[in-house]
Amino acid sequence: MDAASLVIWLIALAMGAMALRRSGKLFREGMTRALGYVLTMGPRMVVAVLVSGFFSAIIPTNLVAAWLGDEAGMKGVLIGSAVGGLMPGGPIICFPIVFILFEGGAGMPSLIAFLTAWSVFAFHRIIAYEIPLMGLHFAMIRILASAILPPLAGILALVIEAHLPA
Amino acid sequence: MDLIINRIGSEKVPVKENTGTKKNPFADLSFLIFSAIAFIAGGICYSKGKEVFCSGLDASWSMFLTVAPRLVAALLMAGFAEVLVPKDLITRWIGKKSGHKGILVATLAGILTPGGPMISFPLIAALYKLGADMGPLVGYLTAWELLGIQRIIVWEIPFMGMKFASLRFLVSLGLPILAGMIAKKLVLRFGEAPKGGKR
Repeated sequence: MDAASLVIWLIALAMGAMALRRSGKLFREGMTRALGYVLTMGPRMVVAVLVSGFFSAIIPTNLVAAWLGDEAGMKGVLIGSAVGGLMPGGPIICFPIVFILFEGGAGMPSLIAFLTAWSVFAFHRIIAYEIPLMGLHFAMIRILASAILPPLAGILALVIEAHLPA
Repeated sequence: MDLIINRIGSEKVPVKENTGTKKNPFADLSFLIFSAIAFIAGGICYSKGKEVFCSGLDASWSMFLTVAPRLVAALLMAGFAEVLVPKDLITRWIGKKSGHKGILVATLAGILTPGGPMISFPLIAALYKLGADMGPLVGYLTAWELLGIQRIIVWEIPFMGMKFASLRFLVSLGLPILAGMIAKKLVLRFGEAPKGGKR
């Protein structure tokens, strides 16, 4: 088992123990919710993994590396910000795609810019939730206030990565 | 004020039950679309030759082996987090109207709020109508979008691994506060949106 799995499992077990210590009913309630999540997420994960696998077999990796790879630097961060902002759909669509790009040679700064742009500009969420619930004015101000975040995150990642030992 | 917040708290519950655990995944449009994409991508692979199709399946299988055990643990965490975190806690935190400190607190609350937009948006819409500042609200939303623990655990770590997730978390830490402060400045320039009944 790798480090990531180990950490998550330890936290999950600790939280389960916390719930159990408060009351058995709370523990069962937590387990029921977790099971509900597994039933919802399980099929999604299978499909996400299939899409990733098939795309990774056909995506032109040399193009990905040239546009978003570590040598792309600042250019990669800007491309990542732009493409991520146009990316529709929830995490089930986004993360498999980011994973393929990562495998295909895209650098972490470009992908961090991509994920940041996708997170703050997700227009399915803006249209479905933000504008109906908060109004256009709020949405505009939030979007304006967030406009510099994706390139900023990418640049910060570039700087940190440059100072990290490989 | 407390009364109103309590009412919001109780109104949140049915919303959650509709969209939460008992949802049929096959009734979900995005899931259907994505299944179609999987099917088409598989078809394209197959048309390029059997070995391309098989290498795609191979990649899928090895990714599944990595992601599945992490995901099960992550979903256990999500389930327990929901029952352990008191529902009205976040409402109480971000409901306060308090400048830069408010943005900081809102950022923290955004990180900790579990669940999708159907949980976070009704909450902040209610706070907005109650008169919460736009700075903290933008900080809250940005934090929930960028740093939300649940998405990181359920999606990012399983797919991208710890190193990527921690680097992204690190560079994003200050961003919600920055967005909240910019939003405050923008409000000074463009004005507050009409609230409550006027909207």
